[in-house]
Amino acid sequence: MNESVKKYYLFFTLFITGAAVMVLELAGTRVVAPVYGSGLFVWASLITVALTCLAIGYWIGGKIADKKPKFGTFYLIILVGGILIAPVSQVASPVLRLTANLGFRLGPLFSAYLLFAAPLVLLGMVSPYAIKLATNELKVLGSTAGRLYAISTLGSFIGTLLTGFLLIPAIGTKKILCLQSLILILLWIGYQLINKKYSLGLSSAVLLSLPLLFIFTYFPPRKESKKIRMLYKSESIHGQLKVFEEGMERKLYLDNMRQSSIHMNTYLPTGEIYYSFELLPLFNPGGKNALLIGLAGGNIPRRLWEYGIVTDCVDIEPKMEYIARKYFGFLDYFGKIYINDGRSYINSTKNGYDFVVIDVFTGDDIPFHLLTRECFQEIKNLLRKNGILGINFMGEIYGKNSLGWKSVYQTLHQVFPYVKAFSLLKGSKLTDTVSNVIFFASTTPLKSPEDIRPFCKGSLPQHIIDLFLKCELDIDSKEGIVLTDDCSPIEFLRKNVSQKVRQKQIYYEPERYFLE
Amino acid sequence: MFRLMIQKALFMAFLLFYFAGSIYGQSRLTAPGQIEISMVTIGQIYDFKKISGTYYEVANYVQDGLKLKIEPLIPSPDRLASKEFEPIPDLSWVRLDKEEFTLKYGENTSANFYLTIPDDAQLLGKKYQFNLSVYAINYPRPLSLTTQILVTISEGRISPMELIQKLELNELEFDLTPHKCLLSNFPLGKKIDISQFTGKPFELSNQSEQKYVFTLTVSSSTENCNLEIPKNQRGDTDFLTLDSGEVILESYASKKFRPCLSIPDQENYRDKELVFLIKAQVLGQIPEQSRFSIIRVKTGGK
Repeated sequence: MNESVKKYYLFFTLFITGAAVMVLELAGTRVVAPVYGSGLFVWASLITVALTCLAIGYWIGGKIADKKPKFGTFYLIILVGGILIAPVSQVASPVLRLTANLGFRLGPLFSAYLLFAAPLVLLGMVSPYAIKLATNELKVLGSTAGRLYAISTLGSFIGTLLTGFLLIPAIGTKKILCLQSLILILLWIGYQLINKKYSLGLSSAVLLSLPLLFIFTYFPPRKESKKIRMLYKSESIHGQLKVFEEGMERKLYLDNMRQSSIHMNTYLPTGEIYYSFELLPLFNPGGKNALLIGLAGGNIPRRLWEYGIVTDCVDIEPKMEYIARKYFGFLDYFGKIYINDGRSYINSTKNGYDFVVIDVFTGDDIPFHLLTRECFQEIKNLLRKNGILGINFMGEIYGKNSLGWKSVYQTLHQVFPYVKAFSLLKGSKLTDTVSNVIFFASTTPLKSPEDIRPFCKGSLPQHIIDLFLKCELDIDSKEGIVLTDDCSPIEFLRKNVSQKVRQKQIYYEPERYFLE
Repeated sequence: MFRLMIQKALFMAFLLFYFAGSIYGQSRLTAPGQIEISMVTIGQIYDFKKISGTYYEVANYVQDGLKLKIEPLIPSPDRLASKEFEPIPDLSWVRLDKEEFTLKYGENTSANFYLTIPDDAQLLGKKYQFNLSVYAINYPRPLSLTTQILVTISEGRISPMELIQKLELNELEFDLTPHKCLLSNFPLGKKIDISQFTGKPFELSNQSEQKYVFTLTVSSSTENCNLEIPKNQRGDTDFLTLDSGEVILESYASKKFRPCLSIPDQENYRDKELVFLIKAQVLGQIPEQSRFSIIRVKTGGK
């Protein structure tokens, strides 16, 4: 075989395997996210698994390379790695179920080891092996190793960009892993063809591609539950989106965290918080338009429309518009939908608003840049006279982990002289329990709850508003910190809110939580 | 449906019938040993029979004509089922539907009780125990049984979904009238306002608590209509026009509309019976809910 062809094929191989490591790591977070979210623990777990497995791979790869520096063995390692990646998405669900009892630290870590350790170790073996194969004499060892590392890192760079920016939202995790497996297997086949072992190359191409094609195209029938029906499932940049029908409720989840829910017959929202924003038109009856940051299923615009308010909705997730219109009955009458980052929209819009609502819980985190003093100042500039800002925040109300909502309160007070906060858990003294806190802030005094109670429309909203009005929170002015663009440790102040919500869901709704 | 939801989704009452036998020779009195009621919410009154689907049953294998009394009791701290539970703060939370009864030998009776959870946020997430004591009043020796009732109060208040059921807002209510109308001797070749022709106004009414956008269309499909129309009687949808396509109706509001029918003056439409359907539905709703107005037309002859 021509040595230079072999050499360039080796470079190409290293480029691909470099990409494969990062693809596996990024796709891995998506595999684990539906059960464990995409927060700090999941990322830390995947990085830990990748680093430990690569370290083991480097060590073993170096040893084998010294003993048996053969191209055949080198490509065999890649072949096995490729074969092991193919079934990851198929076995993920039982593995995640198995580890769910380990909690939100050990669970994702063990899942990631079980699912990704073997292919990552094999991919780790590739680099030292390639260096050995490419080095003819010791005096050029440094430049050879440098070149190979550069090529591999370039591959990782391209793999990261492709996976994160394009592949995950476009084709989903299962197909990415399948394609990755196929490409690694093709490297082995390519080597056989270069080596003029045509029959071995072609027969293995057929033999190995068939099961892959099956995995690529086969979607096992959904385990339909009597109670729960999945209407929609899609991968997106921000997580896995699912729409369920459960009894008479239709619910939208992002990475298994509920975003919206409606009663199927009446389209009445089935979460209290959507009604709580009805206080906005009651505080300011003259208001005609609103800006909602965080569309999800569009419950809030539907409710505000009852009061003649048209709502411009901004959501960073492009698929939300389709879901809101198709499954949650979002109508053009409610307002326009803009796909954009909330802060970016606030900065660029020339519209003025009577109300601004921030309701931006993604699967796990609240975007910190929407809860800073600077952001509130920008919102204040958008608000008309008597305008009100409303925020839905999730956190613990009592105890040592309650600094989250108290900090948002203090930050709002830096910009708005009048701030009110409500929580249905008020008075419970429950610590370790997560609840919604609804904030209202304005430059003009907010009416007394007693004054607005009679004006609420409909018996259900009236009932819920009544509940909220009994639940205004009091705060000690010394508690909490002011959040700024420069320093906003809101995730640390909220302390694992999403994990607590997930734990509760796994306990109370395991059937829905693990439904694939 | 409501009861089922309450039973299954909200309360999950688990009954553990450890029939605690209090045995005096051959005689025996039986009642459940422990009953667990979970996920009750503050500010609600619960009917034990409704949430559990069963009664609290006491059976007498002691003697004929045994007089029994049931009484709720606050358990002493050392007699609690587990450390998680604390004694119920007030016995007024429990109301029995009957306190005394007489049983023949081998007979059993069903008692029911009501549990009132005060609307106090401090109770959220709490676990309480009370005991129901059944004892004989006309038996020479002490004869009694105790049932532990374990109550877990939900961390949340009543959910909107439960309120939707409770307030009976679970059905979308709207109507399209008249449901049926018959136009006899209908003239051909003229555009006729059907409301004027029949003297009946066509009206769409929203009888729900919230505002909806409705669409009014002339439908060629009888799906969801429970009506079979022979093919030769189906009126051409182009013949019937409506002055409104989309109608926004506030809660409990209605709107009149005018359907106009124009059948060409052609031989093949003379002395014919044709059926037209006007359909109203909530815009964008899946699954579709629709109401129909069926218009039967008998055209005139020459």
